Amino acid sequence: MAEPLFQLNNVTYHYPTGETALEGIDLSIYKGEKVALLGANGSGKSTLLKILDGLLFPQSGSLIAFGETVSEQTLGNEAFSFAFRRRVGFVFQNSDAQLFNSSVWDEIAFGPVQLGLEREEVVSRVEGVIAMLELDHLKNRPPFKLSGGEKKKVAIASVLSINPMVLLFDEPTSGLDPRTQRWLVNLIRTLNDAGKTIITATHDLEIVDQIADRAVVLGEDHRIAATGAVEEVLGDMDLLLRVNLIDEEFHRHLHGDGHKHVHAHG
Amino acid sequence: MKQTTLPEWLREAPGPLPPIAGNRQRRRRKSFVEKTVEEFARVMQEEFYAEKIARSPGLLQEIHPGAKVLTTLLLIGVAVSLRSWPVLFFVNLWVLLLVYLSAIRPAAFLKRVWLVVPLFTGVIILPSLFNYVLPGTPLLVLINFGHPVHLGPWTFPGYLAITRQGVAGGLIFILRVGACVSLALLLTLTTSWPALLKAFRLLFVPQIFIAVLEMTYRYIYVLLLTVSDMFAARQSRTVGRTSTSEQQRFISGAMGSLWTKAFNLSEEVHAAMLSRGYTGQPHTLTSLQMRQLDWFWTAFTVIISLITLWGDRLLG
Repeated sequence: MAEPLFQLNNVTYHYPTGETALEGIDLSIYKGEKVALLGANGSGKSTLLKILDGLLFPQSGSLIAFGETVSEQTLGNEAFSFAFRRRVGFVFQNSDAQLFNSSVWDEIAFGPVQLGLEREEVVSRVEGVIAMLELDHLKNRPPFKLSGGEKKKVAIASVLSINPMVLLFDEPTSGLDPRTQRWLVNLIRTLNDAGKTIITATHDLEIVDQIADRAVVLGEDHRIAATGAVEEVLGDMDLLLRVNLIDEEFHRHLHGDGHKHVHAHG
Repeated sequence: MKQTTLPEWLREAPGPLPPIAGNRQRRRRKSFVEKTVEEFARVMQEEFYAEKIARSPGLLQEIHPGAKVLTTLLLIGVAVSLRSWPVLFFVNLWVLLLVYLSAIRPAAFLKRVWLVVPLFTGVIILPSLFNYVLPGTPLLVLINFGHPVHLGPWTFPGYLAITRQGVAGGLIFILRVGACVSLALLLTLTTSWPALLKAFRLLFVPQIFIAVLEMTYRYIYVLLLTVSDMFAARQSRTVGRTSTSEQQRFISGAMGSLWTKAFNLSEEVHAAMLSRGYTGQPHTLTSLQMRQLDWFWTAFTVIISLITLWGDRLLG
């Protein structure tokens, strides 16, 4: 296989309070992959995404991204920081935290402007993303007046305008209505078809096989419990039960009356 | 999976509702919490109203915020320097015409300006109406003492009167304040807050200052909604009336909880900014792309200002 885009070697992270978030994580992510990070609440999925985005730094172990070590020191280098930020986009779970500008247009322009693109390029990217995600009627609106689904779309638009090669999604479907969820799943697939690497943290098992080829399962002990092809992981009921991604009810449904009724712990 | 067992009391259903008709109890007074929830809703509504006007088609809405800020400042400068009341009256009429052309209901606009201005400026100018403060030709004698009044080392005229000069000065002052308030209100009503903030860049307001204001505007509503939810959740669990001290305890608890939430949110926002390339120095796209209409409007305002100043010199 090709050189990995991200390589985590024995990464450990503790919260400032001393609680463990991640323990001994070894993981490689390759170009063009669709990876799902699965795990119950508090298993460390979001922390792992933040480490991959260079927002948190492992206390031990290392992260190598695009062939360079990512640390506070290397990200302090302006050229590397710009190159890294241009390559990795992060869609936060809380859209309100991500939408900090006073209008949708400015929100989408923020990334490209910070990364020093020329005015014409910024305008063309913003307008392009607006047209692609059909946000034209929202572009002058302040983000706090948008619905949950609209906020998520704008948050995604604000990351796409950077044109990252890797997209990190944190619980992207949580709180979205079924139609918006469907839209999002389709978008993730389209982006992946265009060559983008997609890493999605979720516990929504229903969408996993559509947004990922490979699943990385985090256990409640904050270690990687399993990695493998999505069908393989989703088929391993004992594993899913052990990491608290499904409950016995689900188990019974599947084995008892044979009809699949998926629900994970929210 | 372990089955949850409900305690006995949780299985009980409430009895029938008490009759409402014929219940002669006094109407319940609204609690502080309820009033606060309503007030939040009102603030949000006000913002929606302003935003709706700023987005509806009208003359001033079409003009570039930068041009609008500059011309408004010019017109306010002119209004402040006017000394003749007919000219000031004309300026007020002119603003009203703009209100009409900008799709704002004149009645609502007049109410906003003229219910407030006379009240506040009235208090300021009240003393200057009387001859004891500002000597002048009496217009209406209120008390006639028949002899000069001595008050300590001061000697006052033998009558207390409202003077012609006092009234004229007061009238000019009210018209002047009214014109300035109207102009400022017109600017804020026809310009969305974000656009207005951007326009301030043209006045050399530092970028970091504008960025802070923009973020404040953005998050005040997130936090307002959070507070509103906290209050509503509390209200939905309140049966009957609660004591003032109990309400005070709730407020202090809410303040603490809001602070923690705001702090966590700020950390997350900072991470989201870093993730998109923010390095501590905000970069922005500033542009003053004046179109023909903006130039026309600016030129027109300058001409109107010159005519007004000339008229004032003629009449003043």
